[in-house]
Formats: sequence, C-alpha cells, structure tokens
Amino acid sequence: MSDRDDIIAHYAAGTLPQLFVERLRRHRTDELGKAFRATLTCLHNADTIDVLEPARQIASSPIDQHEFFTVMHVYTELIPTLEAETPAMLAAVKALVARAGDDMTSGMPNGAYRTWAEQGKRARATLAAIDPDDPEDSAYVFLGLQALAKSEPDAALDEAIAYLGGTSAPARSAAAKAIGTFALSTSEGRQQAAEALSAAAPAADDNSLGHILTAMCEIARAHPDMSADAATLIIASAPQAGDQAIHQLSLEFMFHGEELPAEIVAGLTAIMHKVRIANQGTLEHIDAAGGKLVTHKRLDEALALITPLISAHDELTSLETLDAFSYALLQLPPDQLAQVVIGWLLSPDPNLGRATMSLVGAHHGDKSLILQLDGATLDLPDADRILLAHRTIGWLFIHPITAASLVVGLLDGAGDAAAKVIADILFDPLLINFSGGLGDWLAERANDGSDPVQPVLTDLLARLEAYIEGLRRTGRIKEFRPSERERLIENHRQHESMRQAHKQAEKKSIFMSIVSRQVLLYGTRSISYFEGPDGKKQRNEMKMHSFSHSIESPRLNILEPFDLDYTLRVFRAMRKAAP
Amino acid sequence: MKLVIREYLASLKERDELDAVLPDLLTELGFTVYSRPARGTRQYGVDVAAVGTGRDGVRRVHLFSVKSGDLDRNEWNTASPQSLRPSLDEILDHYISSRIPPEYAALPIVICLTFGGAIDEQVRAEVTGYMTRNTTAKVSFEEWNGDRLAHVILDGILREELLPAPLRSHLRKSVAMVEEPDIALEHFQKLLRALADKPGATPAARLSQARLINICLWIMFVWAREADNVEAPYRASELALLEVWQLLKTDITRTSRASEAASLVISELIELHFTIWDALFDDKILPHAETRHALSSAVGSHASLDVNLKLFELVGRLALRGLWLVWRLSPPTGPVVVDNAYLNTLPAVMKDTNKATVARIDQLCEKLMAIVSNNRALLSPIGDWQAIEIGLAFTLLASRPGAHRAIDEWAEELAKHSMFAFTVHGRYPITSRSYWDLVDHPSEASDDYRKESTEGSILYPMLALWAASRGKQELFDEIARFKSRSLDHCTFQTWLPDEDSEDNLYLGRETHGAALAGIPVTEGTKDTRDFVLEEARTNKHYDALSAVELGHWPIVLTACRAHRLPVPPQVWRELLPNVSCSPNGATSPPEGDAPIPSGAAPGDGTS
Repeated sequence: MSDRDDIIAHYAAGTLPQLFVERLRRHRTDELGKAFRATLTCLHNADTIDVLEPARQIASSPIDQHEFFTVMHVYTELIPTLEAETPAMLAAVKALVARAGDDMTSGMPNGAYRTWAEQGKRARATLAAIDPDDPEDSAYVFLGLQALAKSEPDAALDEAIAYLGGTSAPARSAAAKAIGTFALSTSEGRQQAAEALSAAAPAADDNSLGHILTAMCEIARAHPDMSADAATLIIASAPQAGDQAIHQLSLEFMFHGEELPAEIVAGLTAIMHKVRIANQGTLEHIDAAGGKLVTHKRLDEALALITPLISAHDELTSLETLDAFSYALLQLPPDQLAQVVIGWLLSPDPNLGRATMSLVGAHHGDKSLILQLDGATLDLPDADRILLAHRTIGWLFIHPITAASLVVGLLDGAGDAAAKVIADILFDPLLINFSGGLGDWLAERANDGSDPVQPVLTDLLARLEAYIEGLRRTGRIKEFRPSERERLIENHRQHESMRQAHKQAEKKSIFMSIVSRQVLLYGTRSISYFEGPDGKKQRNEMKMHSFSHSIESPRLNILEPFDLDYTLRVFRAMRKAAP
Repeated sequence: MKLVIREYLASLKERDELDAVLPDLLTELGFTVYSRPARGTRQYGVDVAAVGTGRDGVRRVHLFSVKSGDLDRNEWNTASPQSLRPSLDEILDHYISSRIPPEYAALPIVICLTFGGAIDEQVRAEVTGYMTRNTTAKVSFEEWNGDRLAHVILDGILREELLPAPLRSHLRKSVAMVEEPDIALEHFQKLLRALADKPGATPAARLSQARLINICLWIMFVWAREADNVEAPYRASELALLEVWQLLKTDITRTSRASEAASLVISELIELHFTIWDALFDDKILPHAETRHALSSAVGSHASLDVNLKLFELVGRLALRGLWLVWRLSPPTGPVVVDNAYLNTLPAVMKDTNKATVARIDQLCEKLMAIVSNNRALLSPIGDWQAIEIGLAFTLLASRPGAHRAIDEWAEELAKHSMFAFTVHGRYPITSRSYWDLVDHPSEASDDYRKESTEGSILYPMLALWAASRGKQELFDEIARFKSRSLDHCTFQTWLPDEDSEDNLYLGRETHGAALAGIPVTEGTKDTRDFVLEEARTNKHYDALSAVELGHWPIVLTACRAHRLPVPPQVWRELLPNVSCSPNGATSPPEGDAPIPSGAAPGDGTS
C-alpha cells in the first residue's frame, strides 16, 4: 500500500496520529519522513483529507503522551505548509499546545503557527480571529503581531501600540512583548515604541509591566541609542514592579543580561533585589544572570546583583540556589576570586561570611582551592588585614588550606605588629587544628626561598613541631582510655550519624537520581544484561573499584570544642578596631 | 592462684613495697610483729621483726631483711647499702646483741632472707656458704623467697575461710582484667561487697578481713602496674579504703590493741592509695601538666566527651590527693586556709615536715592550674555533677592563699562557658550522667530539651557561693541574672549529710543525706553564701560522721567523689569566711606564702 493510500485509510479510520507514530518515529529527518510529510501536505491541500482534524481532536486521542510528542513534532513541521482557514488552524494549534501541557516543548506548534501566519494575510486574519480579552489568545496576539511585522512592520507597530493602549490586559502584555521583538529599523519607530511603552507602564498591571520593561530592554539591546530611555523607564517603574514583572525581567536578565548596557543592568539589578525568597524560579533566573555576568567579565555588576540578595536572605547563603553564580565565581582566576572573597569577608554581614564558606565548599577537586593574593600590592591598612585574617579563619576554618592561602598573602606587606597577630592566629587555631594537610602545604610553600613570608612560615612550622612533639612525648595514657562500653556507645553513635549523612547525601545525589541501584553482596565484578536500541540483549561486565575520601578533623573539636566554637564565633563577628 | 601471687611478689619494685605487706602476712600467720620500721628505713639490717612459731613448731624471733625481686649478685653483696649481705652482717654484729627486746632475748633467732623472687644460681653457693658459716645453736637462717611468701599468703591472709573459692575467682578476674578497668573493678567490688556483707564478729576477724582487702588490692595494683594501667586499682583503692573504714570504724574508737591495729590497717590502705596515685600522677600525668593539650590528647579518643570526662576526673583525683596533704596540717574538723599565721600555731617540732607538706600542696596547686590552663576542656563542664570535682579543686586551692586568685579565674571561665553554651544550645552542663545522653548532647536545640536537661543544678550555686565568698560581685551578679533570665526552672541546690549518711556514705549503697534546695542567688547581694553557711553551721550531721569525729575528713570527700555526691558545705565552714579578696580585688597572701601561678593563658604548646 502506498503512503497516500495508507494515509487515506487511516484518516478514514480516525487513526492518523497512530500512523504518524508508526511511520515517522525513526524517520523524522530522513527522506522517508520528508516524503511522507509531503504526501500529507499534498492530500490536505487538495482537500482529500483534513490533516488538521486529528490535531483538533488530539485531546481525546488514545495515543499515549510519548506518542503524542511524536505526533506534535510532525504537525510542527507540517503546519507551515498547509492551506487552512485561520480559525481552523488556530483551533488545531491550540489543541496541540493544550495537550502538550507544561512540557518545555509545548510552544513548538506556536512557532510553526507564526511561520504559517507570516504568509499572505494570515497575520491580520489571526489578529481578527482572536479575542483580546481571552488570556489563552494572548499568545496569538503576540504571534500575530510578530507575523505581521515580518511583512508590514509599521502596521505591526501600530497594531501593537493600539493593543498596548487598550483595555485588554492579556493583549496588552502580548503586544508589549511583541514590540520587544520588532526590528524597529527607524529611529522614529523606536521612539514611537518607547513612548508607547513608557506611556503604558504607569498604569500597567504587573504582568504587562514586566513585558513592557522587557520590551524596552530588548529595544535597547538592539539599539544602544535607546539605552538611556530604557534605563529611565526601568528606574521609574522599579517601585511598582511585582512578582510577575520581576519574573519577566529575570528572564530577560538571564538570557541577555550580558549584552545589556551597564545602566540597564543597574536598573534591572535594583528590581531583582525586590525578589521574594519564595519565588525560586525567579531566583534561579537571577542566579543564571549573575553567572553569565561573571563569565562575561562583568564581575562587579554580578556582585552588585547577587551580594545584596545573599545579605537579605539567609536561605541563599548556602549558594544552592545560586549554583550557577558560584560555579562562575570558582572559574575566575585565583586573584579575582580572592578579591571576591575579600570583599565578602570584609563585610560585617554574617550572611556573606556564610556564603564565602559555601563558595569555597563548592570547590571540588583533588587539591584545595588556593586564593592568590598579592599582599604587597593589596591596598589594605593593617587594621583591615587583621580583621580580614580573623574573618577568613572564622569563616573558612573548615577549608584550612584555602583560608591559609589568603591569610599568608596578607602577611606580605603587613606591618610587624599586624604580621605577628596574623601569624599567631594562623598558628592557633588554624595550624594547630590541621597540622596534617595544612602543615604539609605550608612546608611546601616554605621551601620557596624567594617568598617574602618564608621566615614567618618557617617559624610557624617550628612552633607546630614543638607542639606536636609535646603531644608525642605524652602519648596515650592508658588510664584515660574510655571504657569498652563507652567506646561501643560512641562507635554506635558515629555509625548512626554516618548512616544518616549517607542517606541524606543519597537523597540529594543527582547521580543516584539518574541511575538504578543494585547492591552486590558477593564478588568484585558485576555482570548484567540490558536491552540495546536494536532490541538485542547486550552483556555488560564491570569490574568494581573502591573509592575513598578522607578529611582531617580539627584537633580542637575533640580537645577543646567549646573554645574552638567560641573562638570561631569571635573571629567571625570581629569588628575593626577603633582608630 | 599461687601463680598470681608469685607473679605479684616477683613484680614488687621496691623493697618497701614488700615491707608494707610483710607485717600483715606475719600477723595473719599468728606472729607478733614487734618492729615494723618506718617506710624506707631499717634497724641494723632488720626491716621487720616478729616472734612466732616456725614450721618446725619452735617459737623463735624472726628477723626479716627484705629485698625486692630476685636475689642476684648485685643484691647480695656490693658496696651498696641496699645489698643483703651487709645487712645480715649488721644483724649479726649489732641487732642481735642490742636490739632484741628483753622479753624475747631467750628465744632462738632465725634470720630470714626475704625477697619476692628467687635466688640467682650464680650466688646460691655464696648465700648457702654464708648461712652455713654463721649458723649457731642460737642463730639460724631461713630463705623466704617468692614461693615461700606465696605459701604464707595463701595459708594465712588469703586462707580458705577468709577468702573462699568464689571470692578468689573474683580476685583472679580482677587481676586478669586490669586492662579493662570497669570489668576488673566490677570483680573487685564483688569481692569487697562479699566481705562487707559478712563483717567479722570480732575485732580480730574484722582486722583479718581488712588485711585481706589490703593484700588483694596490692596484688591487683602490682599486676596493673606491670600492665602499665593502674586505673582499676586506683578506683579500687578508694572503694577499699571506704569499705575498710566502714568495717573498722567502730574498732578504731576502742582503747585497745585492736584499735591500734585497725588504725594501722587503715593507714596502710591510705598509703597504698597514695602509692597508686603516685604511679598514675607522678609518673604519667604531672610531668605533662605544663604541655598544652598533652593530657587532653593522651585520652586518645575521637569523642570530645571522653576528653571532658577524663580531665574532670583527673582534677578530682588530683585535688583529693592535695586535700589529704592539707589534712595533715588542718584541725580534725576540716580544712582551713593554711597561711603562715596558721602554720605558726602548729608545734615547732613539726616545722620542717610541715614546710615540706606545704611545698607539696603548692606543687599540686600549681600542677592543677597548669592542667586547667593547658586543657581548656576543663572550663566547660558537660555534666552538672562535675561540680563535685570542681568543688574538691576549689577546696584545695582555697587552702593556700596564693591560689585563691586561681579560683576566681577558673570560676569565671566555668560560669561564662556554661552560660554561653546554654544560650547557644551548645554543650552546656546537664544533669544526666548517662553516657548515651552525654555523647548525644545536645540532641536538640529546643527550649524544652534544654529545660529538661537543666532541672536542677549544684554547679551554678557553687560557683555563686565561691564568687560571693571571694567578693567577686560581678560574677555573682552575672550568675544571678542568668538564673533569673534562663534558669528560673532550675532548682539550685547542694547536698548535706543527714542521720542516714553514717550508715550509707562510705559504701554508697542507699540514697541518703539531704538536698539543700532553693539556694538563692540574687543580684546585688551575697545571699548564696549567707544561706549556705547558715545551714552548714547549724546542721550537725556532718560532724556526727565517724570520719569527721575521728579526724579523717578526707575520707568523707573520698566517699563523695567515689559515690558522686557534692562536697558538703560544712567542709567549707572554715574556708569560705577566710578566702575573701582584698578590696582592690587581689588576694593578699601573708608574707612568705608560696606564690601560685594563676590560670595563665596557654602558650603555644612548647611549655
């Protein structure tokens, strides 16, 4: 049976979607697929079948959701090629979008529709067919305007401005959004658009405001001469921006922040600072925007965007929500990263201290994060150096080598008194607690004869050796040994604590969420079979390997836990000495 | 069992260690010991002299010249005054002719070569030749080696009717388990309990029981010392002392030889306790007092709780040893501030001895404060009941004027650490003594948990009491504010003995005594001190305790430490009114009082 007959038969039987799945599942991009689609178009445009009819009925189709997306992709490719009345096409596209639900690809039929609408008078027909007051139709206002702009840009702008000044909120938002996408090749057009957007802003609902400001950003992005107007409007509108506007703008910031001029970034930053902590989606956009700004060498603007948010919200100090931003920071050259850390640690805000701890904790690798600091050129008075050294140790205590890398840098260029204070706290609590890893790191650094702080490091190592020798001389005193019962209880507690931590880690593990879990009780090798894409069984044999990770526990956490805790609290809360 | 005892005898390190038990062994064999030289001295070669019937049934004067361990060439005859042959020569040349009591002068004499081990074969011929040459009709020689002494112990002091097989089993197990002190102590306690449950009907029978306890403790100690872990005998020695006090306290009050013998046995047990203390503290702990974290680190645990518990335990033991020294100088009723003015009231003949005692007390105070300074876990009690150890330490420090400021500094740190930990839901002191609870503390950061864990306290009122007595109003007020702000739910209290205490204090069996509750701590006053001292002065139960009546108040403190009771405030009746600092805030020790370093900030660990 030919494609044509097959299609007609299935159309008649009401099983055209099933045929799409059967014929195009693995042939969407190849010649067979193209030929099949061409036949469909041909049959539809010849009125032999109405290929859009199954689309309009897709809500009640028995195909499963996985198969639906195959069908949706077929329609996406077919739609621009089909002849149809606008309402019929609109109904089909809306049905497809509705069935796709919240899926990320649910907008694909709309894209196809826009391409379809760009042809002939379909754009105007679209605008005529929709109900501006219907929120569901707002997307088609946008699409219609975009399509119209393709052939009649001035008319599209006029239509959009008309919607903008109208009373239908959904259409107003869509129009504003559309204006942002117009080419606006003339300065008059740009001015006209800007004025319309500015005029609409004060009375706009929150969603529309978001689109209006986004449109201004887009215009300015494409036409830098509009930056001042855009910035003025953003700043003026900032007080009225609510959750939806902030969300819209966060999208703009995320996608194009790095291309926007500084004055607009500053305006958007002020609006982003109004975000509520409950709006995680918006925060993630802001995080991505921050990350991109860092990546595009706009570090100061990124810090201006993110730092106040961390200060304002305890929840952000873990940097879990701000993972893109923290990742970008960790990619910075060590000296720049050190500057970020210094900036945060010199702030009296404890949230920034916590964020610094999280930032360093987010570094992964075999070696500790090293913060390079050219202390000699660092423009810091001794009081600030002392303050910074304390705060660094206070906040980065559990990352001793990272903390030491910064603190050692502060020694260079410090006055004698300040250097002594810094060296003292480098020894206690840092070195005394982490005599292993940190001791080795300092010893390696002390080998560098050209290092101006080498004498201090040598002295520190000598003090450490004396301290360790004191402990070694005493050794263990058998009479102090906890009883067997106490040891058992403590071991049980440790075991339970580790088990809980492991469970928690597993819950959070991305790796564990994408793999299936098998527990091997015997052997050091696993043999398993799985089905390949061709349906054949494949044997997989895997040799098991062990892995381990060790961390050095701070000595005083066992010997003097209160004092250690108290000292760190004091270090963290330290203020600059009065002059 | 014999093997256990032989090993014990062979492991005795010093001659005077064998001296210490030999008289008891002989007494239990039916000998009359007429000469037991003071520790470390001998009379013309004789360490112990006794009259008794030998194996052949003949009654003789037995002159014992004692050596520790094996008898080798060095021990037999060198230039050293400790060699045996010169001692024997002295006996033959001087002792026999001049030192035998007239009532025994007609009896034949046997000179006993006494040593814990055996004769080295290299000197066997010389020893035998010496004995043969010097044997006469009147004077003969006997070899009391480890094997013979083991028989003496088994046939005498540990004879079947005194120590039946099940109890021997406990002794063996306590010896075998010295590396696990809890288990060793459990067996030793069973042994003690079995004896205490059936006290002898006569003073002599009770003395035999006491001597048995003494020798059992010696055996356990020597074995533990060989295993380099004297923890079990240390704890056993406190319990043994208390058990023997309970056993013999009525005999001490008699005016007879039994009273003298009872006092002697108690004295021997106290000396043995000190010997064990020395083995632990002088050899292992005090040399490291000045090294930062040395003792904390020596616990060798990865749990901070273990470090905390062991350090406070150490402080209590150290303080109690110091208080035994203070006892030597104090009146029978309790400790006083031992300043120069007080020392001048003591008999002049004791001046040198007292000076040495004061020097030793000062040394222990110094060590105590060095340990606190270098092991700052001692500033953060995790159990409210650690106030027992702190109370003992304050008592010791209060006995010397130069150490008073150390009380202030330590008390302030203790209070501030505890209050801060409470505020931040850290490891603040709790009432529970369960290791499970402590290791998990704080299991919650909730107010409910905190309230439940701090329903009563002996620590805070004690700190307030000492702050008030020392005139540290700022600290006192801080505690008062803390109480009103955060511990309103907590019953501030202390403990005093009552009429049931005499029967239960030493053995720690039943709950006894009275809690002095509702101790006030009011800002701007010193009401804690007035309240507690008033009760301490009027409540006479403490004075009725036999240990206090008989002038042995450290035994009460030993019982409090061992059975986890707070120091009764009557102990401080003479101290608290005399420890207040001068108006400028500093204690002004009378001239010549040894200076005690304050709790100086720890150094970098090198000293």
